Amino acid sequence: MNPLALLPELLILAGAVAGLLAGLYAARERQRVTAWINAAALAGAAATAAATAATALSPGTFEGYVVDAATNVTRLTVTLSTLLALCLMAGRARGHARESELYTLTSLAALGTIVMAGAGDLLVLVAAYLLASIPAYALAGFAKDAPGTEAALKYYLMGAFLGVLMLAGVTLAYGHSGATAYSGARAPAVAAVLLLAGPLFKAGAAPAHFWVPDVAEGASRPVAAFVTTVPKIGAFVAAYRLASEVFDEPALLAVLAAATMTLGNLAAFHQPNVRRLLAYSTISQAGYLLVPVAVAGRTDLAAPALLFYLAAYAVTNLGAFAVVVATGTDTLADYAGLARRSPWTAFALVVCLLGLVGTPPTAVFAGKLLMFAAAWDAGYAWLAVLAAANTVASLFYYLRWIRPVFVQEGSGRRAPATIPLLAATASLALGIVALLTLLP
Amino acid sequence: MLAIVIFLPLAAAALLALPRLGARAAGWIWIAATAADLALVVAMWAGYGPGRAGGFAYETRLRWIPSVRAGYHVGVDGLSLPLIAMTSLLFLLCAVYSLRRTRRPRAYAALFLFLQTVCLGLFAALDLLLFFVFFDLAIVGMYFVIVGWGHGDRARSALKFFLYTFLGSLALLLGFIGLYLAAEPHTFDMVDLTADLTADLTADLTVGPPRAGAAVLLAVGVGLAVKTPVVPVHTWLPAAHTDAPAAGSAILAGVLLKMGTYGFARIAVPMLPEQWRAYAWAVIVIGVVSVLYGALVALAQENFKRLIAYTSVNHMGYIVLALGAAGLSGGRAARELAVSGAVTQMVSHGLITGALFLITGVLWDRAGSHDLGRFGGLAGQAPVLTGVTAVAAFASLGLPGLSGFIAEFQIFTGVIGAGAVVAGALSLLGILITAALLLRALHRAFLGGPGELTGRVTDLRAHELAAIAPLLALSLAIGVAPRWLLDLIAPAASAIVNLAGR
Amino acid sequence: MNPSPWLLPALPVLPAVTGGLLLLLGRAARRAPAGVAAGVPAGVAVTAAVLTLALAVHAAVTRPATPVRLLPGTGSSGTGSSGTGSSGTGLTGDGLLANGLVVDGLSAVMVVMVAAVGLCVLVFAAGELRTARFHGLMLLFVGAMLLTVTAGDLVLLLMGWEVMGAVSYALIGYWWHDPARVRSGAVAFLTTRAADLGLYFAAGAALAGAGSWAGGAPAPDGPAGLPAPWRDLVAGGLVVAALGKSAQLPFSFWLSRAMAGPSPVSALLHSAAMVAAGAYLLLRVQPLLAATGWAADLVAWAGALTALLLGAVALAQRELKQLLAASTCAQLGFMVAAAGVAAVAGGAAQLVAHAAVKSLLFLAAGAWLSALGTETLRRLGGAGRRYPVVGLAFGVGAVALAGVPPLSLWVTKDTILGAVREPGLYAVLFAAGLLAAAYSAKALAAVWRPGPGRADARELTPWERAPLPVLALAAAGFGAVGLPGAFEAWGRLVGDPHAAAPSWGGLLLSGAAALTVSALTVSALTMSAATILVRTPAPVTPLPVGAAGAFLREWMGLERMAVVLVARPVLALAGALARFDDRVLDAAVTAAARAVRTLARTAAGLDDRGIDAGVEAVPRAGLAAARIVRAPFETGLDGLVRAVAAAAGRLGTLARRPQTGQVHLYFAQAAVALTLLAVAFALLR
Repeated sequence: MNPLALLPELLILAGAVAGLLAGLYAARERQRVTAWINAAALAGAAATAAATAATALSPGTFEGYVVDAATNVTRLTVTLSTLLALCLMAGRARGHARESELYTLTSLAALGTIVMAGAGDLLVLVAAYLLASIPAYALAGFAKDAPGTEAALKYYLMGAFLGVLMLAGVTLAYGHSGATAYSGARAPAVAAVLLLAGPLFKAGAAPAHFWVPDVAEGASRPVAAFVTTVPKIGAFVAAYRLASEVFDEPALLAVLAAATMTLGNLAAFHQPNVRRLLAYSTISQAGYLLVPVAVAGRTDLAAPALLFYLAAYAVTNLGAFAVVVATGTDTLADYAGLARRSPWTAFALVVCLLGLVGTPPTAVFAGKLLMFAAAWDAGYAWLAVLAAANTVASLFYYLRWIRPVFVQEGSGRRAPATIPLLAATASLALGIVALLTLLP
Repeated sequence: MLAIVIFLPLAAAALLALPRLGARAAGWIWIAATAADLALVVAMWAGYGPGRAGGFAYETRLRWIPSVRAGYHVGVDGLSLPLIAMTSLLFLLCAVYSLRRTRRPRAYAALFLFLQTVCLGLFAALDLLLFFVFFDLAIVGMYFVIVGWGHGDRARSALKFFLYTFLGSLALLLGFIGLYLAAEPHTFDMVDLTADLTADLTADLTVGPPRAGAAVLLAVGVGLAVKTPVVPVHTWLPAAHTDAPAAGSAILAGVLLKMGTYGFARIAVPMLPEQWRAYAWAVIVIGVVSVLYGALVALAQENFKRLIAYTSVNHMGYIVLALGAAGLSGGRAARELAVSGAVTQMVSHGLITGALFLITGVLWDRAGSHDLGRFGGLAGQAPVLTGVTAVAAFASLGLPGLSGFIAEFQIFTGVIGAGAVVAGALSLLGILITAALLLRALHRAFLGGPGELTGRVTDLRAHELAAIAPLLALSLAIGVAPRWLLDLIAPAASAIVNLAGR
Repeated sequence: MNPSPWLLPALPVLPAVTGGLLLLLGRAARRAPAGVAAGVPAGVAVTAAVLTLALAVHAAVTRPATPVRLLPGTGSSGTGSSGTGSSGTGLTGDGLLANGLVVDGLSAVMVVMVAAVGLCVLVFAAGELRTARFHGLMLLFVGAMLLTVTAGDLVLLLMGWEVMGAVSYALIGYWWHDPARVRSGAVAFLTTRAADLGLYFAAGAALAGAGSWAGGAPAPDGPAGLPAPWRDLVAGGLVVAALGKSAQLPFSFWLSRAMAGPSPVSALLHSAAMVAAGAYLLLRVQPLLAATGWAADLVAWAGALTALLLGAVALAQRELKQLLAASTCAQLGFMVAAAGVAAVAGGAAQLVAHAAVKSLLFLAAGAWLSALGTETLRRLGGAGRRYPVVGLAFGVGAVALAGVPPLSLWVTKDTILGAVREPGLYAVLFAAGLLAAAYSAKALAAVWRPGPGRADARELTPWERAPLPVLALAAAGFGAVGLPGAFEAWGRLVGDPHAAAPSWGGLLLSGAAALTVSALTVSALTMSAATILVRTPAPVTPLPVGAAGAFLREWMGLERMAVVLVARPVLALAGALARFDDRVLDAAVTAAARAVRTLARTAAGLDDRGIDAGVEAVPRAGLAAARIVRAPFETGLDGLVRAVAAAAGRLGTLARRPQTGQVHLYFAQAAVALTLLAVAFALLR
């Protein structure tokens, strides 16, 4: 096996370590350099991942780690979204006492996410789970204020609990089949449920979603953007691998998907706090994302649907959070008249929110389309219908946010538009390109 | 050429966004862009050629990677070209009509230009996904028009409009996915779906899961029916129309509603012929119910704009009825006539209802009300407005010499000729009720003694007349000498009947 | 055969376009100097009418046919523009659907008549009404009628037919300030349009029967050769449309309403245009009626009964125009019956003679109305003497209408009676003829009896006087067509070559009867004919009297019946449906949305901390469930919707129980949910 195939992961790790070291020696006002180091590492990782994907450089399996198209897409998505999140953080954290740690923790969490996605062995999955989770706990409480601390604690306790359940699942599966590699391990229904606990937690899917609103509201805004978006990517790919190789429980996953999307959507109604609103919206998106996981192995469309939806969701959700970061307010009422003050930010918000709804030609539309198609093709048309109904319901609360932006007059500061616009444009571009090319 | 036609308005919208333009300049850019677009469409029409037997002109099929079937596929035929022309004209006239609008003119113009691209794109799309993209974007654009420039309880109406039609669009999407999966190899391309693969497609849907074909038709049908709209999924329409600005209503009724019926003619009938024939009776029943229900409810309205909105339900019901008749087993000539009538009605309704909604806008502009009971005797001080309204009303009730008659006569004759004698006879009552309600409205607002708000109404201004008169002139032209339009539609209608009959 | 093919289309187009231009540009003309502005529209209109008459005569002589196809054919020619319209046989040709414009013998008679009467009426109107709107609409009206009678297929026929109806609405409601007149216009239009639906239906049935729009498979005998059910449906549709247009029973009441328009409108509408179209259509499709076996009898009886009953209605009227209106229905009944008994030549002769007579009478009545300001019979005493030209012309018309020899209607009516074979039908028609004599005499007596001179009455202009003698001449002399020899030629002209001239016996009988009845009526009304001569005023007794009189005066309550049986139920239904739309359909959608939102609010209860209502929640949920079950029986749909929403709220209370916001309860929930899932799926396996 070619160790170069692991170059992206290694680059991120090196970047994190180098950033940490540099942070130790750099003056407090010069700590921004660690951001550049981490960003460069991430960009390098993205580039190598792209190169690997393009040249099909030694796709294959290390012991317990798979480098295939799914891993490559995850690498690209995670690194690029982490870059976007870093931009959000860098704008806020300048001069913070532990600025360098912020970036390093982010990079490490991203690394854990990628490894989760690439894991080909239950034990690697557990390790990756811890690597993805622990930096994230620290990030949630990074501000050291009361809400942040409470959020971090809840986040940690939930993660620990569900992690233990997942370990129990690993044990059961090993006991059942005598193997921990995905290719050999087989999990009965009980073990499958336990195994899923971990990915469900990272994905913020029911019944392990309780932390999402609390963390989204309690942590600082850029961190909230990161932890509600990026870890999901690895979690879903991991769940997909489990569902297609280790156990065969489509009905279980379908039930989870249905429950998650419905619960998330219903809870998002009437939220006056946009961060909680977005948190519930991510829960509902997790429900949609579970649909291709549920039909894994039953249709050729499952993998493209999942991977594309993940990428689309990541960039769109980050865009919405970027608007929240840019405006600096969480109350729905404060968005009144935003279109007058900052038209481009408002435009980005509309694109991202309609993107989350799944309005063409944004990227999530293409993802949703693939998801519907996958569900229909695998014989789960009812799930597609339910997802469609949920989409309509979700429109209601997204419009509750959009309407005041355009209709009412309000006072507030202007919000910078660069990063939100960037994300919105990316979402649109991804969607248009996908529509033109993706469908065979 | 077609790409320029479609995206020219969008480019103009971008132009409006860039520099700091004044309101007047924005208005003139809007008019110039739409006028140029109309000129291009006219040129396209001229170049389309009279003797074309079928197939698509100005076709573009973007091949991204040779092995991958591309998603950007557009073209026009006798079914879409009249609608494209009607759309460009209506948008130009809306621009003219809105020339003196003061509130946020740049954003207004940009939004309408965006909508124009979307509408033109939809009628030209030959790919289901592309169709859907435009279908959904039209909802988004119209939502902002209503919520930003409407009146009354606009936020609620706009929300209702968005939610309701979005629900329909998702049903449509599910139906498209069903079509996509049924085709072998999987494709969203309309031409492939209708031409080479239909036999397999129908067979696939028949031998697949039980009633899969019916389910797909149901999904597509529900999606298009909400948009059309037919009874009983029409309740978003009156609210949206009442609270939308006049130009928005004109576009909504004139163009957006056609997306539903166009979808039936372009997608549902040709791609699911077996299912369409099997459920033709259901379509016909829905059509007849829409015709009668729409007309009767309109008869009871006090609000002029709501009244016109309900007549739209009635008029679109004729189209659904005619397309349902295309699935019957009656004489071929009759079915072709019915489909030709349906297409003519799409164009005709766009012109006439567009004019009527712009007229209501004049009333709102002067008096801030659409309440028929508060006007009266307007003929005295606004004779031109009255004359224009009378012509539009008679056109809407299907008076010969105007386009509505040409459309409806073909529909009635075709439907009865195709064998749906009772349905045809019942729907005939629709034109009688429509006549009654429009005369009643005319009487209450324009004739008789003066009413409470009559004093505020002044006659049409030049730009308003310039926006409304061409619509009626065109309606007259179609009504008196329809062959230039019908000869274009006939091959397309024949093709649809061919496809439905397989 | 067709030296100048544009001349035929020009026949309807010239007046229509001129009328349209007058309507469009009329306001501009108003800004011109006063003298010019007043005269221009009338001048234009009369000029156009003269040219139209010239065109009509030319068409009648050359008998052209021009293929005009509005709708594309679907035959082999595809988009070809050449029709099959040169067969020269109009609606009875090789199909009802695609012949274009045709002038055959019957049409030739009609176009000349329409153009001539139109010219007379426009000349008369030039003296009284001067707005461009009036003249424009009148020209449009004439154009539409000309299109109707030259149409060789149903599409063109329907165009002329319906435009005529719509223009009649505008003309009847000409004085739009008066709501009652506008409503009269609407009643007239809607009634005739209701009948017009039959034409639409007939077109569809014809297509279904022929199986092709044009060219494909022509029916050998025209529409009469269509296969059985379709032939009957076509005939039924045409009959309904014609009866409506000709104001036959049960549609007659609209003609009473049509009196709300200016008198020249009535003069045209009641004679050569509009009502004549129905009779024309039936005469035109007589072979089809005969072929069905039932339509001919139906039409014959409908016409005969109308002639009888509306004759009685006419006799009961107290106003001159209402009397004349009812007499129009009655006279048209003869023509309709003629179509039923295959007396095409007789019907056509009656049509032309009646057009002259009735336009003459209405113009005279209009002259008096505008000069004297009244049309009540009681007050018209002396009118004939005050305006001798008008009075004499009216006298000629009334005598002709009475069927008194040797004037026109005496002969033409007998040409129809002569063709009736059924004794019952003959009796009815003969009685109707006697009634005609009676009401004509009543009108004549009313205007010629002595009366007070009106000082404020204005003089009539030469324009108003000029057409009357011309029409009177025609009304008097057209009976010559019934002379032996002449009538055979006439029959060949209008396409009824086997027509037999009326027998002398029949003529003598009916002439004597008419004379007698007229004389009796006049004497009954005025005590003695001598009083007219010695100029002593005498009251006109209303005839007949009592309840029957009132019933007849109200046109037998036909309009009230239409209102009660049709208009009110439809309006009530419309109102009910509108309420249904708002309160049920729309409310159901809104309620569904609200229920989802209620559900959502409970799901969002994650925020609520420390709610301890759990203990109560279970019984509450039970109660709610019980209510849901009960609800539909208690409060109907609305209650059900509310119950669902309430139940959702209560379920939410139940759902909030474990949601304390505490981490250990999160644990518990996650653990319980996962355990349940594990157990469920393990057991399912």
